[in-house]
Amino acid sequence: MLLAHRPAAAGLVAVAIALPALWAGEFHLRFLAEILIIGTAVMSLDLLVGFGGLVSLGHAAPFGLAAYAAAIASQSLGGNLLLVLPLGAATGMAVAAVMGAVILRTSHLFLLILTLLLGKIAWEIVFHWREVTGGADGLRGLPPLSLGPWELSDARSLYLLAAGLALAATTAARSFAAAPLGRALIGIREQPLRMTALGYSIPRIRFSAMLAAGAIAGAAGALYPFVNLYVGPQSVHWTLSATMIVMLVIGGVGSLWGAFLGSAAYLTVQTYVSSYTDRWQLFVGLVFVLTVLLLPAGIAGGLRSLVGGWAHGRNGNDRGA
Amino acid sequence: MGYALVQILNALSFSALLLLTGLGLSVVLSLMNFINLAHGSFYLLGSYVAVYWFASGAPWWLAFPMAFAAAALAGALLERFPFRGFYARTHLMQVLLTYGLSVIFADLMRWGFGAQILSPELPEALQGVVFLLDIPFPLYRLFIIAAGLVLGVLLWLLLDRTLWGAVVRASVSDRGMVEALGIDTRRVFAAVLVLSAGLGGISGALGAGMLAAYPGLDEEVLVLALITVVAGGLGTFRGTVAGALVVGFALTFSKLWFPEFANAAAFSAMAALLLLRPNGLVAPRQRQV
Amino acid sequence: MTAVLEIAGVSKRFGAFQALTDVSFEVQEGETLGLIGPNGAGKTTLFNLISGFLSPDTGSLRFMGEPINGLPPARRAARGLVRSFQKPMVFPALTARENIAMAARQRAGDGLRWLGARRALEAAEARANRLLAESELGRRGGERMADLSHGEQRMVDVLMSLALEPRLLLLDEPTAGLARAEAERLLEMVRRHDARTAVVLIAHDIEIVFGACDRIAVLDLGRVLCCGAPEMVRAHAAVRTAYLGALADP
Repeated sequence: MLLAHRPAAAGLVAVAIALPALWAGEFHLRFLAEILIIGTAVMSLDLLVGFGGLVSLGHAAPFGLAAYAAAIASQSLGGNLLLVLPLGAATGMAVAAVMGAVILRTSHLFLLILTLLLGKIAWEIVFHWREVTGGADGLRGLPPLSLGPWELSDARSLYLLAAGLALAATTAARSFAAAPLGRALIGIREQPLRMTALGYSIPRIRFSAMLAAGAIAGAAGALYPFVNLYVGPQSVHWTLSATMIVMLVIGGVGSLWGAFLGSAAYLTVQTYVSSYTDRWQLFVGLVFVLTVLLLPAGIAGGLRSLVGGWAHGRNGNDRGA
Repeated sequence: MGYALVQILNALSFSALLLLTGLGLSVVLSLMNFINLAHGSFYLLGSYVAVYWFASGAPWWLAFPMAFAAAALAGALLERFPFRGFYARTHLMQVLLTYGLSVIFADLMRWGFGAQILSPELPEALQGVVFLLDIPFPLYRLFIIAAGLVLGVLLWLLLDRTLWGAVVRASVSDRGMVEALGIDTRRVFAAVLVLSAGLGGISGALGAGMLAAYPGLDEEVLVLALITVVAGGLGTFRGTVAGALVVGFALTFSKLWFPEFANAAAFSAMAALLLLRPNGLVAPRQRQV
Repeated sequence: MTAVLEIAGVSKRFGAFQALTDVSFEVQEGETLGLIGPNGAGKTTLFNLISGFLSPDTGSLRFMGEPINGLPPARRAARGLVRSFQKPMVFPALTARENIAMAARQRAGDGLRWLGARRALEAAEARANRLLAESELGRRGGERMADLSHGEQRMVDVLMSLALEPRLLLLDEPTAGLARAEAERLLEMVRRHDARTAVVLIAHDIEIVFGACDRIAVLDLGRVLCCGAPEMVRAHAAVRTAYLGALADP
């Protein structure tokens, strides 16, 4: 299922990435970069929700705290990509490790509330630790990203960087899902008791999934401040966690690539409707409700059933929870 | 001494509010396995009703039944569509639907009532302070504690001690059997949801005198109510009481002890609690196999 | 002969209900022990205790000579103490082959692998295919479990357990809902698979138990009434009255 094995798909993706880089303007490139970054974080959430049935309402924590870590580090050490990106991934992983340790033995609503609590704790710390995080104002005036001699501060480089990250992260997530570890994750969603009887350790599987998802979300978070030239407490807030779940459902749970469609749809509605009316939240809520009512399998699921039997056989394994 | 007493009463009044809000959430959760994230909207609607009612000059005590009625009406409409179709769906889908609705209602209420903080003009009977060991304490908070106690007991009697409560509980454990007895379980579930929404509205009306009413309060209250219900162990009556006390006291006292990181401390305590008791304070014992 | 499982003085109480009282017996390598008794006798509770899903109030459990009290279920399974469940407990959305491969990967130590996934997946699929062929389900391997018949699901359920190469296999009514011929075929496959594996079998069909087992233990109201060769159990007076009833009449 890796892109390398499907040259046609790989070519299509390459063209799809290249086209905007050639023609889109500054604003649209930054907007697309944001879609790809948020989409990457949402895709990592899909590993937990779609494959593991672990509905986390705190996924903004690894994403947002990694964004802060990258921004704070860049203020004193510069925006070296080779520093910022691994630091973000490591931060996301560390945050996810804490969350993973807490949720190991819970499930369903307890898991939802525990992740929500942890996310709120993260937000409280970011919001009140003004000396380091800037509190409600957040952090501005970040140095530009750089890779060796090249400066990656213009919209086109940022867009290509985000696209590269999205592609790499999707490849990693797909290989995770296809590997024994990812299949075990599906197993504990479907039949936890039997997995235990087969000798699988449910806590270890969950913890591994949390680490993988946290690392990907963290890597995405690391780029986020440099695209917006700003990072604020909203990037850790639980409404972003909830929005990520919304995006995931709009895109389609369990498909991985649907996450990008979901984040594109959501951010487009938010950006364009908010420029016409103050009531954009109303529209966002409506989109949300209509998705659940009309397209419970998301855009990805809708496309799939349009294409019909073609995709059905191949993707039978990764239906969402 | 008096200071401690006042803080304990503060915590109790907050707990009473959490109890009423949490009970609304937990009756639908425990009885119908339906998780309603729009419950915060019912609360805020109740708050706004109370603010406008107190300002209107009509008999003040009618504000509470009015808030109950307004939220219950909203609940009844929502129950017909779309809630009814979601009772059997997964929690994830229920969460998404009701969260989406809460976003819509939040925006509608901001549209209708404005974005500013509205504090109600409390009726004279509830204004003022009483002196407890020489320390002044707002009378209104005592009123909240009393109201929470009375309504809590009434609800417990209704669900645990009446035939109607028995029908509700039976509908949950064996819907087919109850239908076979000639009872329309759809109407039973609708009634439970209307009751839950009404509870949300009346707790909003009570809370308005303490927390005021403003956009975003719906989410804050919802999250605290959710934590209350879950910390209590999902749905048992005693559990929700225990959860409300724990959350109310944790938040009140962490504000005293760690003013800067009050919420972080309280949430950490709650997370620790759930770590130690993964199924909440009062959990029905379940066998795995 | 070596004892695979030694149960000594095991009791379990749920609230006021005494589910098991002072249960003791051993299971030898390679033997098939039948476990029979009326509903509520405590058969499944005993399985839950042996496999670690419940812990006993008193008494000791030894597996391969070592005490296993307090060992979590997953660790017991990893040592070769494998159980099945009363209802077929499979992954309905996955194919039959993937169901068995899930077990085979865990047995091979590849269960949580990410790197080197392809070789692990291929090895497990090959193992699953061999097991499917052994059970004459070879052609159904690509079907989703949910699309298989009840009998086929039961068969795959047992194959999952066999893929773990158990030293002791606890089968909880594997033949429920199967026709007599199907049930016999399933048990024969289990026996044929590895002669050293010890099997403890719960089944309601007395004829199947008496036909397939070397020894039989009879549980009633949480106590072992008797334990011995089939002829001995058949002749045992208490068993005749308590359980076999009509069957014992000529």
